[in-house]
Amino acid sequence: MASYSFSAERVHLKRSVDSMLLGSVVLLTGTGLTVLFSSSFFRAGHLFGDPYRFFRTQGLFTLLGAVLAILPATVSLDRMRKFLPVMLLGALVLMSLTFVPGIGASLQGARRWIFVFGRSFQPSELVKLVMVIYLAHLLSNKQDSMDDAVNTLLPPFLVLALFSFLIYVQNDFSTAVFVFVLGMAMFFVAGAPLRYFFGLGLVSTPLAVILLLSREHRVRRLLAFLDPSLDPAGSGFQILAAERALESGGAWGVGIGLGTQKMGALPEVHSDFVFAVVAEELGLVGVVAIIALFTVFAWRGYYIAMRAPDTFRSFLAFGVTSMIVFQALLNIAVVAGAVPATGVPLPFFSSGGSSMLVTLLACGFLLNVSRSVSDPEELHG
Amino acid sequence: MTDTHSEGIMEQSSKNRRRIIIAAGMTLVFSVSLVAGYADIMVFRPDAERPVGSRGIGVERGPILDRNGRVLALQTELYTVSAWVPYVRDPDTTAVELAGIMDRPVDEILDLLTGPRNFVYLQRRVPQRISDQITSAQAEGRLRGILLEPTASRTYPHGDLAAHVLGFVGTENRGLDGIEFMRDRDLFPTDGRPRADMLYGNQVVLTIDINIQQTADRLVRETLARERADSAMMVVLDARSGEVLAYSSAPTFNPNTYGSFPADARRNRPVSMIFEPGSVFKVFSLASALELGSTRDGDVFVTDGIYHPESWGSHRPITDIQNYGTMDLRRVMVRSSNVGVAYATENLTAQDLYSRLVAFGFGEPTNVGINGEEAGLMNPPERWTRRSLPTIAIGQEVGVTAMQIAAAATTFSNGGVLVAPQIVREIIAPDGTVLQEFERRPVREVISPSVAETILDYLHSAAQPGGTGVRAQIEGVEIAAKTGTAEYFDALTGTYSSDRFIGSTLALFPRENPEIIVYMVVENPQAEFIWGARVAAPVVAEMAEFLIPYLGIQRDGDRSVPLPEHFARELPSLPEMRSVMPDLTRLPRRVVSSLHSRDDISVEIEGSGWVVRQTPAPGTPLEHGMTVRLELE
Repeated sequence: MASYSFSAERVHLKRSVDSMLLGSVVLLTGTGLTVLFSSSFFRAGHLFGDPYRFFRTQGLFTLLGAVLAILPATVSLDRMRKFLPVMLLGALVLMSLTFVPGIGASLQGARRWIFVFGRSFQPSELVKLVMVIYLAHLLSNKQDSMDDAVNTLLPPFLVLALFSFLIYVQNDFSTAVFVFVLGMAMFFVAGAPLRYFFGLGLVSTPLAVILLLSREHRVRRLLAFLDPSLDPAGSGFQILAAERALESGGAWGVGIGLGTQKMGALPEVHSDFVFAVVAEELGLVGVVAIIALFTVFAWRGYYIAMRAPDTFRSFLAFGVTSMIVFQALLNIAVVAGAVPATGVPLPFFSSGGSSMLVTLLACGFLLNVSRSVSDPEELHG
Repeated sequence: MTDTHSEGIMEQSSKNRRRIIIAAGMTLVFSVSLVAGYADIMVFRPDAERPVGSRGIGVERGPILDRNGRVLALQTELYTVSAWVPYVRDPDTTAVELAGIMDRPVDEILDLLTGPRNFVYLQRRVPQRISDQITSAQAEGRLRGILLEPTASRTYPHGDLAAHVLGFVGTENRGLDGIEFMRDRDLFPTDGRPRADMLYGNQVVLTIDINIQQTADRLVRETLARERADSAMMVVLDARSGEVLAYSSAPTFNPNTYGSFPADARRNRPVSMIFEPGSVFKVFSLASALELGSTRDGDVFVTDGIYHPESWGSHRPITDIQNYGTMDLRRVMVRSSNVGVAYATENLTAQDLYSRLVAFGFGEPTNVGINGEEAGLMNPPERWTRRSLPTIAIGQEVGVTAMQIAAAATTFSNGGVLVAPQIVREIIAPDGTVLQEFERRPVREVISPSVAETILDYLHSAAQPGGTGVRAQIEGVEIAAKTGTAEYFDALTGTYSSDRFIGSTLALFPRENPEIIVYMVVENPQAEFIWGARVAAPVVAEMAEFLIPYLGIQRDGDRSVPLPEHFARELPSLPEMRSVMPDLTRLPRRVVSSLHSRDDISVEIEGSGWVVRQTPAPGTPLEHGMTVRLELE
């Protein structure tokens, strides 16, 4: 085991990062910032008298994230695995802080933020990444006993369930489900026997339904999804407004900065519904282009996961790629009205410092793994 | 050792890789279907399936005008006030300040700001004045989180005037009812997508005359209250062209705030309420009988108040409220004798009467151009019983709409030719080009001109002392009128009500060459009387008293001046009388007489011809209750 990791370390040091992956990350970040500016200047100007407000904040976090991402991009991944207990504990502490008066903050009825130096931070964003690293570590360590439900599968499952539950208690049902599903995807790739997934599905579906229906606003969102016109002024409003934005976009869009739905018609337009602005201003062409960028990112990410020299790097690459891609697809599906409204942001695009930071950190890990990937010829040759 | 170890890992790895490929494949399938979904919504969805209002920005819906070009509905720029609650700093002070600006209770706004929703509408259709106040408060750093959205909005400057004709427009600027709905394609520009450029809709000019409509609305409202009725309605037609001059129904609603009215108030009764017309229907059955030759002018009937042929067996007899004895056909009409009508139609075949009544338009919608129109109930002869023919002839076992009765009456003012009623006169493009002009639409010859004359003559007698329509009589102009009272037929139970009635009166005037048709219906009057002769005929007379001077119909038996086809458009229009007295000199009597319809000032008009002197003088501020005197020469 030890000799194996040593050889992997040796391999990755002489490689350079995957240039196509880096290119797609840079393009996504740049496009994201541009669209965010276009989507937010009206509201920011309206609310704060400063049209650049959201853009500047997001720009700062992007810079900060890019600098911080150097760490996961260059750190020795094997050495980092030793600090996992610390990271896990840190995430747990941050999550608990959201419940501490004075530090934790409740916005819009959800208690998911903590305030540090006058800035709010959403620990659940970080939990997504920490869970990925933790599961990659644990599941790769136990590759030879994946059939052992009690000793191999149960402990990481309980940790995953605990964090999902903590996020649920913060009144963030969709992120909780998202983290849980992401974890399940990692169990799947790690080779957990399929029968457990079926069993879990049977148990968790009714549970999820009960938790889903336990809060009025979730039920209302669900009803609004099923028929937005039932309550066009309330819960169905975002869905209908997003649909209007899509329709007014057409094939070619109305032009960047020229969309009208963001002007008050579409609440939360700069965060969860930013993709509606893409659709209105850049048209179907822009929509396809951005989905294509995410597809390139996914392709490189999963390619790296398949070519990674060991299972930890493979699972890590798979996990961070999925984390970003799943969020993107989910968010884009919500804007199209294909799935009920959730609070899942669009990575690189949605306004939100925590999401931006964590997305860039995740990309750092992915780039790190990409350096250890050997070319196919070399591998087989 | 390294080899075996890495071999074990390789084996595991290929399973992992397979699963990564599965996950990646699912991701790809999902993204492809997302692209397909977006393409479907953004490009391929046909216009008709788009939710209303998706193209509502940068578009000006065309105005609806009355026949003289007065604006009945127009687009205005209003604002929607909403709040994004998470950004509202202090709900209490915000609510207090907004309550002051919008003139609403503080509690109401506070409830919205502290409710479970993040996004709330505080008020729609707020005028510029209020939006300016909110903007300036925000410039001073207050009212954070309050949003203003300019919204194209429909305004009906005359409030509930002609509400049922106009209908209303949804928040997405698309017509939902009435002309707004029926002519939505004309009013709402459909070519091209809204861009920075505005698109303008066409103007729809109605046949409605705002002054006649105002009078009809007032009369109908007053009748509803006075008779404590469930509903009341009046249709006024240009007897020659079939143009609807007024179309009134109460209870009514204000299209500016249609949402706050019950559905019953918005119900378009004159085209959708089916009722048994009762004796008014004798006009059409006797006309049919005369046309088909089963009776002739001058025929005399010996009656004893009961009509019950032996062949009827157990069928109820047809009776009169008293024994009228021996009558000629004219008296049958004047007294509205059921038994007389039964005798007069005795020799008709069911098929003949049926086809003739269908030719009058009964049993099919008039297609006047208002949505929700009903065809009425006209059973085919196969379903008639032995008693059906005389029963239908006296206006039972048949269901009509008010519009059908008024439209069928055009037959008598057009030499026996039925003329289709119309409510839209012209469609005019934004640049003034007339796109469509609706001409008089003769439908078919139903009866001969001489039968039409005979019926008008009978109806004139019916409006004389001794006739049921005497209360529709007016001084100086000969009027032809027929009243009717029917038991309310409950379609649900299939039974007649013994305590709910529908009283109505149909009138045409002047008797020779009628220019105007008025039909008034009162549903379930619960005051002193139930009879059409009592509840509806006096209202018809009031309407006529307004119309005769307004349209310049000559009184005192002078030959009437025929109504020119475009009688009103060629007239100079009455200046706006809002705050100050305008100059009314040189205006013809016809124009100034419309001032009679105003209930805020009283008007005295002396002489005929054109206004030569007026008091108060032009420029005098107008006050409620002021008397305006006009001298004409």
